[in-house]
Amino acid sequence: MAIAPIVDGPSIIQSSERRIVVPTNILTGIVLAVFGYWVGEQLGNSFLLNDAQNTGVLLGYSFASIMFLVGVGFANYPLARLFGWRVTPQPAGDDHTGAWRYLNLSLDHKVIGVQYLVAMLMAMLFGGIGAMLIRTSLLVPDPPIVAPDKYLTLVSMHSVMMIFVASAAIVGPFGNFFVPLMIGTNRMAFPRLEALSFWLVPPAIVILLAAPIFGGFQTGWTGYTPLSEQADQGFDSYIVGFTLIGLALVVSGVNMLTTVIRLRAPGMTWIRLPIFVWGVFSASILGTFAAPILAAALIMQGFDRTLNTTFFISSAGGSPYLWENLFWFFGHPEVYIFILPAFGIILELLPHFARKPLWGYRTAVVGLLGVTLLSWFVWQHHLFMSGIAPALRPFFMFSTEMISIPTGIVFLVAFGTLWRARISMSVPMLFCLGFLFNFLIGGLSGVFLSDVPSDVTLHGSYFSMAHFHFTIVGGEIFAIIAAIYYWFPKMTGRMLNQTLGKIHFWWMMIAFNMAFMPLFAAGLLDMPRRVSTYAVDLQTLNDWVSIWAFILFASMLFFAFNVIWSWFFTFKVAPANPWQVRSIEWMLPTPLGRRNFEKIPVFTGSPYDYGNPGAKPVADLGGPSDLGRRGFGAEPVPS
Amino acid sequence: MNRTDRTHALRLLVAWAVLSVIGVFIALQVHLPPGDQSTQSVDETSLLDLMLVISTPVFIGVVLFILYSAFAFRQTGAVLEDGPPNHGNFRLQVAWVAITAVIVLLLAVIGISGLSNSAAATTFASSQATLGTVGSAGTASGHRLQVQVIGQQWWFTYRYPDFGGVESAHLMLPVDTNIEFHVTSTDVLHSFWAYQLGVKADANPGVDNITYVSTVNTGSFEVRCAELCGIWHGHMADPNGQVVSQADFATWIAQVQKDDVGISLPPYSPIYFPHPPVKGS
Amino acid sequence: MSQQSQQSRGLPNLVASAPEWSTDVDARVSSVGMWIFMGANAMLFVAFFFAFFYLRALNNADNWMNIWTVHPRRYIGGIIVLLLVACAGLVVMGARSAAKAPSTARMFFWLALLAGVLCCGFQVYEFKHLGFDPQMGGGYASVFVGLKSVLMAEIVVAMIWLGTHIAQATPIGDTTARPASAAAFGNFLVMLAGVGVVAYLVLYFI
Ligand SMILES: [Cu+2]
Ligand SMILES: [Cu+2]
Repeated sequence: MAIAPIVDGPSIIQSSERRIVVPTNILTGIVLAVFGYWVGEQLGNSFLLNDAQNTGVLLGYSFASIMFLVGVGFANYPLARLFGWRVTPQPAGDDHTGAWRYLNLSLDHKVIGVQYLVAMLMAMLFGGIGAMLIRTSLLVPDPPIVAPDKYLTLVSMHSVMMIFVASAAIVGPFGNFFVPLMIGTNRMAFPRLEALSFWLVPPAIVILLAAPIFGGFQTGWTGYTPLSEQADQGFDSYIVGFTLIGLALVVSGVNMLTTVIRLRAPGMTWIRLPIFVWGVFSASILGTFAAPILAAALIMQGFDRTLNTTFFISSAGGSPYLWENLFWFFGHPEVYIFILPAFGIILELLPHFARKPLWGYRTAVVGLLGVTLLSWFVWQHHLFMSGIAPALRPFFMFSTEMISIPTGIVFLVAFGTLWRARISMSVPMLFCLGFLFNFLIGGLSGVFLSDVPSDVTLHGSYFSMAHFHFTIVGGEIFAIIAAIYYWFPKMTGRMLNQTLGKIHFWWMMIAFNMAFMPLFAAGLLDMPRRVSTYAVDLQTLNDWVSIWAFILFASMLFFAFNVIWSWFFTFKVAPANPWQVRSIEWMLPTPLGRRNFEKIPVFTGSPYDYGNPGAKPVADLGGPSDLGRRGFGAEPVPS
Repeated sequence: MNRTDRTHALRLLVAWAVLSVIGVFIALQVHLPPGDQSTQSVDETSLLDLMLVISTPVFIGVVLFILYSAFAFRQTGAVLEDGPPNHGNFRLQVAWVAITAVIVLLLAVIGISGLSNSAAATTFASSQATLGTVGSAGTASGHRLQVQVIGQQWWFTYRYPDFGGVESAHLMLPVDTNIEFHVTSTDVLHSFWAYQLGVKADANPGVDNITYVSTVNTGSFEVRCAELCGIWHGHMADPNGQVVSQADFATWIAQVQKDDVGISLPPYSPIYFPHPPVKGS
Repeated sequence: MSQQSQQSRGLPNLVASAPEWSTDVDARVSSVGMWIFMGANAMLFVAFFFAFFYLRALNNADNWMNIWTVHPRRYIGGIIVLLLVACAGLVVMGARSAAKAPSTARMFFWLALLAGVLCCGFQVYEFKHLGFDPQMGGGYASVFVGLKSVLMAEIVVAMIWLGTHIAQATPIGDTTARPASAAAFGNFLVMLAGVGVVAYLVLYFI
């Protein structure tokens, strides 16, 4: 029996979704999630383990997440296959229109990008509110405005929430939306995994926000044992929420890596890949292979809390060091999951606004891959004082300082691109320059922390807290905002207001530096992190920081206003290429059609080829029409 | 390199040199903590000062470059123009990598040598006769004053195995002495941070984490917990640590031995395990 | 045998087919994607093996393997791992014939499912008769229970997945049309079997 050739494929089968009696949408998901929680909790408590009812909560959260995904529609396709129905992997449930489409399961990478963007902005708002409450409490040294246990819960929830945001807020919105466009494909390699990577995020956020119901958790984002073993069921939120995010990183990474490796259009060779794609690619490598370590460590925590195993209990054959090692073996690559795609954004935007080619493209790629490689060998720099393997400290000190070399390359490439450029000083460019300034401070302060003798004084103090806020807020968040200003017109069809944008930049830049710069001093003046009270003579400093933090938060609200106003209350469709740049996504119409390319494009030039009158266009959009059938790989350019 | 390149580069270089000299001069006036109470804190202070001095020109250079390009290389016309199609300069890239590599190596060498200094403080100072003979509960290396630091929710106590394992709620140390801290915990992780002494070491249950300090100046210091350890972590601070003269220390320890009441802990032991394991209380 | 019989079930096709959903794309991505996923999955188990050797080396409070703990019976562990290997091998053989002989593939898959279910059954039996208590057994007991439960959970999910291949290994089914995904699934099971073998050697003999 011959399978019909690829003419129409065996995919001409009606959608599996139509067979499911209960409509699957977000409302069904919510109802099923509540039901799932109830079932899980009953089941967990029925075992009658000596577990302080953690099993019930853990199973409740897990079942709720699974049932939510089932309700949203993730089970339709596998179940239909299991029933032996003839199904097509082609998305069929994607026929909603309007806003409802964005609230439901969609396999369109552009919808997923927008869903991610909105979810990440909301999560950032929750985390920001946490920060504001923290700073309010720190207005007075003692007695604290917020009781210590509530204060530490706030700190922990702020940090975990912001870690969620930082791990997904570039690859999620911009990676999903623009990588397929930039490499010239109509689909991702695994659209269901891509959608799953998004739909795992809302349950993670909700579960994290539920922690205060069960007493919160006072462990910080590091969740060190044995403190976490003392924590209430609030800590179960940490376990399940973080596992879901870890899973999201893995499935997103598998999809993204495979897409970039296998689905590049003809002519899109590795050395023509936009630098943003390289940033996403290297971050995806880290996410895919580091997050499972975290998942395993969290599973161990879960076993310790339910089955009473003793992975982390030193009196019973376990060790807190095991958690510290596993956590930071994930945790250090994790921080480069934050910053690598941010490097990608900055290096992508700089040439477009400097109107010059990216200076030293290949060196930049080597720099990104160098960071990717080195970040696996530095995790114990978080553990210099822990007493773990003191003899290895010189090695980790050295490997940590080595990372300055590839990071320095990124700066060199940025400088080379800026050199004698014709900078068009628009809002995205302002944020790129702000990034360079802030990340410089973050990077230099990181060097202070990397030498063991100086780390003795700085470790665990506000100095390190200021350091990573400079890299994550001043670095990654600035890059995200640059990307939002830059790509918003393509994603939503609306231009963000540029005047408000310029006000926003200066407001945010000044407030950020005013708020976080003094924290270096606080750390040097022996203020440890995560304290609800502090020395009386530091009150002026802390009040200054709090007030500027409020101003910083207000600048973000101002930004939110700009986004909402421009998105929903200006009714003018943005021009297809408002920045007049070369990159392929701007060659496509705004708004984009459901299919990106009617014909698979053939890439012929570099997106950064400015100042060259004879430059070829980036791609030929009217490429040979049958390429799609052949799985559109990076075949050599037909010349 | 054409003439425009050279003009810009020269301007930047001159401005950078001038500002760096001023910046380094200012940086040299700054003295960062933790101070001079021990050889370790002296080392740390000088390392931090050195890093400040090294990073000042780097900081000034980068900021200058950003500002200079933002003003000198911007375009304001109505029609967008392109810059020169410059794709890179291999020699410059190699030079840059070489320079960063040298700086990194330098820092690593300084850090590693500083590390071996603090760990190699083996000689015992002039106070042997006063200190070494009284008790002998310490470990074999009786050449340093042994102090056990026990973290517990939410304070530190200190045991002196050389003096029969007597325990104190405040840390008192003799000056001009090599000290060996044995840091452990009875419950969760803490981190013993004697700020002015330049010492930080995590307290882990079931672990004897050893760190060294050599006191050189008398004075008081603050002990803080630097690892999140539960709700009163922020209150786990004691400003009453003291480095005192050896005579004062001898008087003090004799007094402590006399009215030692055994504050809260089981008998002296190099490590403590939390017991029983607590879960989701 | 394809285009005409497709109206046999349910509603007519409502979605225009797009070339990017052709089986060629599937063939292009499934192998690479599975290799990456296997790498990620391997890291999950690496963490557990690290825990094994790390806790064993630390032997905190002399409690790595205390007096209440002995290695579980090797023959039961051996049966479990043999069944797992057999399951993986059968799936690989089935996947090889998926495109040409769906009925042969189906038979292999059914046998593999049988092996997999038996494997899970023996695992449950082993858990019930461990001879030690995860709470009292020290570090070894924790790692044993943790590693084996995670492995078993993955096997259970894989068996459901295998069920879909059984259901679709018909002349007009998906597995037949997209043999690349069946092959990738086979790779996944081989990886699980590999983890099972290593875990057997580590957990029962060291
Ligand atoms: Cu790190
Ligand atoms: Cu503490």
